[in-house]
Amino acid sequence: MIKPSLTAGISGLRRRPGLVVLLYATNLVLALILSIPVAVAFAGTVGPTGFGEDLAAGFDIVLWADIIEEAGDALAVLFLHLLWMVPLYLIWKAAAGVGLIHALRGDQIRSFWQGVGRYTLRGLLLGVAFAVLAGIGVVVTLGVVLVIGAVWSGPVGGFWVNAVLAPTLLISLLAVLDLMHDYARTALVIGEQPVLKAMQTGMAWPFRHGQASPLYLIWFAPAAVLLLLPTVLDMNVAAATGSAVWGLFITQQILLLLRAAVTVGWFGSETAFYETIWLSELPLIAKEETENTPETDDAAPFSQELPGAEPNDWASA
Amino acid sequence: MTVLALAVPVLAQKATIYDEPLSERRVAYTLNVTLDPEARTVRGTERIAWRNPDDVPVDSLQFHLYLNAFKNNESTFMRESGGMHRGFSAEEENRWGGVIIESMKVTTGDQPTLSTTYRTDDADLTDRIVYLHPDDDNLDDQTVAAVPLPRPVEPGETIFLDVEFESTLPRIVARTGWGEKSDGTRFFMVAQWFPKLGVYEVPGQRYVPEDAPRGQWNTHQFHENSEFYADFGTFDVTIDVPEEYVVGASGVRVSETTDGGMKRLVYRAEDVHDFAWTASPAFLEYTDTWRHVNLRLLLQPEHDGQAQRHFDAVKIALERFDEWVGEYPYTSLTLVDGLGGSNGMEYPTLITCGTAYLLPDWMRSLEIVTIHEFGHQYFYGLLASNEFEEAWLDEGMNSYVETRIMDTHYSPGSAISLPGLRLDDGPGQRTFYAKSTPSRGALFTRSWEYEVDADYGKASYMKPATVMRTLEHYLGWETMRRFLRTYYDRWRFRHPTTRDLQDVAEDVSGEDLDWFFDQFVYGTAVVDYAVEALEVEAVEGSERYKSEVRLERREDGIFPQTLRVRFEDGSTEERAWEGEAASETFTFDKPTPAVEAYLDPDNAVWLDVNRLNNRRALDASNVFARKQQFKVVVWAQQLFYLIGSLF
Repeated sequence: MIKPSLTAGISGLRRRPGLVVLLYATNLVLALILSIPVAVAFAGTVGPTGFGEDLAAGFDIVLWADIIEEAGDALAVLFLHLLWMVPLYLIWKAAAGVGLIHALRGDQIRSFWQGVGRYTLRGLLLGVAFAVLAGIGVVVTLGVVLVIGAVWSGPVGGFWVNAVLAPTLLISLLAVLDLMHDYARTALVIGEQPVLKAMQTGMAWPFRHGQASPLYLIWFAPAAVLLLLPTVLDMNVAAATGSAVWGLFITQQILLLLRAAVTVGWFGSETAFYETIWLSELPLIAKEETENTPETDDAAPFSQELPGAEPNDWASA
Repeated sequence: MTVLALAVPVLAQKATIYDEPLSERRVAYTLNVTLDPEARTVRGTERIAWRNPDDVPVDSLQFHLYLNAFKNNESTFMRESGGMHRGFSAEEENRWGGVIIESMKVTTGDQPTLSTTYRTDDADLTDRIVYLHPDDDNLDDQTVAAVPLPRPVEPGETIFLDVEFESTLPRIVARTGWGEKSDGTRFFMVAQWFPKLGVYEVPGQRYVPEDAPRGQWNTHQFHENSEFYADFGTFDVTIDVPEEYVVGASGVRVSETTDGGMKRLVYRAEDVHDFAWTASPAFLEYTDTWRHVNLRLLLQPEHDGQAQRHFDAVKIALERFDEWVGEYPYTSLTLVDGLGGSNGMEYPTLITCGTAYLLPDWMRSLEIVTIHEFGHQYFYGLLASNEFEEAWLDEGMNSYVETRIMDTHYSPGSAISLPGLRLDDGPGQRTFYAKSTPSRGALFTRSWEYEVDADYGKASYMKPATVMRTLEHYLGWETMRRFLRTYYDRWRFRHPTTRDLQDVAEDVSGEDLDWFFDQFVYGTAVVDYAVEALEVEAVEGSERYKSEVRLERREDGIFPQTLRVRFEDGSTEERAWEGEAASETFTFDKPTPAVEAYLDPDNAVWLDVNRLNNRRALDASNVFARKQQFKVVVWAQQLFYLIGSLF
């Protein structure tokens, strides 16, 4: 079931390139707004000095300390901007998440914005619930790490516990929660489930369907690589001239555009995976919950197609 | 030079490369001690010989009892430090230590026969011991003891004392004591552990006036920040430890025998002013050689694999110190990888280094610490300045040479070497000084008298490294090298002062350097010169341009400056400015306009606390601002993707 889901994700990507552009552009615009104080501060501090090209060519702690001393206040604005920008972005991400699922589900062209309008509030609540869960999970994980650290102390134990085990546990925890959140969101949109029920579905999903995790990891790997590559490039390319700086930036942006594409493909794959299973399980649900079947515009076609549908037929239907 | 002549056992290996004594050897110690790992004590006897170097009788002796700094919360060290030293604090369990003198007697029996041996009928001095508090009147501090003698020691006479003592080692908080690994293995760093004579300074020595009627003891209490000061001599030390313990010590090992589960090791150190040792069953032992020096590394097992890094670093240090400063006269050097607060410390021919599990190559802390601590064999060991009173002479001069070695051998990235982030040791120390209230804390300050505690580190390490690098650039490297070598040649095995160091610098350079030392060693002058403005206007009726550069001195420090002006046609012109005036304007009348004014273009004045304002360009580019903006854009995009994946 992984391969058809992957195919469906890539097919969704081809069908809806606008979604990729939308995700990428939103990120870029917010990031550009954030960067304005930095540009102004550095231009004002370093611009007139003539040290610009030297500093662009390599790190100089002496000059950097002077810059921070002079432009520190201006740079602090950057962090103040994060105070409103990060919450705004999270709201947008919650909206975009449900919008993407709505837009990528089934084989019909559905409006991203319709999905945003219809599911954002519930998507946001779901996001908050998972954020709380993540917070609890982090605290519990750190507690576990502390206990292990107390047993396995000393420099060797300290290294493995703090530098290896703790990050691995935290990343794994967050990845599992992210996976659960993905399917909870899908259940919320496709299954029209209420928030708590969707959360329940999402949390049970990786345990009920073993292939959910490999599918997640298949998308996780390129997503992580594409997210890290711009930093790797930045660390290894000493762009010291205007054209080199632009060249580096454009290369990084291409990578981040691809990262947005991975997001869309990822959502498409998981949506397809969910729908396939959902459809295959629907007769049972229908039998048991006929009275409760949601009567929505979007759900109807699947109900009608169900009798003759193969588990993975939807993509080509 | 009168030298204490004591019976010396036949050495398996000479302690120095010379047959004759290299120092005045005013003292000689013979210690027989046993380590009890369970009780964490070192117990034994000590025979101390001291020759009166003065022209007048001396009626008392003074001792350091450093371990008493860890006796309780009331010692000066504990009051000053609050039990925390450089980030390390002792755990509560068995944390206290101290040294108890059980008896102190003038040797009456089998002392070496010297015509000038001190004799008395009233030999037992135990009850005469009193504690002194010369620095802070802390009556609870017992780190300095004085013993009034039954009769004075005559000039040139040698007194022998037999001391029975027990040292309880504290849980390591600063430099000395015991530690325990997670598997229960014990580690002992036995330093500042025995009753040790202070330094009797004769008239004309250090700051005792030439015409003073008599010399005086210089014996300071153990402080949070200060280190040590003692006279050169010899040490014959016999150590008994459980058989499974691996021992490293100052000097050379004369013999090693095993009997009844105990191991007896005999060491001899010559022309040194301290003796320290370490013991642990956990040590891995590695050996290597550099010319005449036997190198021995005692490494914690978890750091196995880092032996070569230690040896490489110390060999680089040996090579460079030999070339730049002077000969390493000893035949041994032991490097110890200790635990916690014992690391990063120097003792004669024994240093503690310190690393971390799986320390990556790009992090050069191992190399920095190893080279720094080795450097103390010179600045502290051979050039035995008073660390209590003039810490910068050992820590600062050593930091200067350390940064120079690091930046010569490991740059770029001599401190941290990551792609895109290469930080050199010297500039790092310069920045620390420049951005840590540079107007506070003179180099020439007694280590416990800094108004702000943190200023000790800045004024003893980072600022002197910066001051000396600036002096090097001012004098030129060859002159600076001659200065270092002459300082070594003139003052090795003695106790130089700041004044002595300045004298050498002036002799070698042929220049009065009061202006430099008064501002940056004795004073707290801050250097900051700036290009205030660069203005260009076309001269009416001609095809020439009048370019005007306005310079400013923004702080009280004065340092000669070089101004380099670059013109549109690519030509440059340099002007010298003595830098004394608050501001100065330089005018250039040329057929081409100036496009850039650059003060200190060769980056010679490391004392300048703001280099960014040293340069002004009319054709400056915004490439850096754009690059940083793009970095922030990409970081923000990455951040959004990252946090977005959870919501």
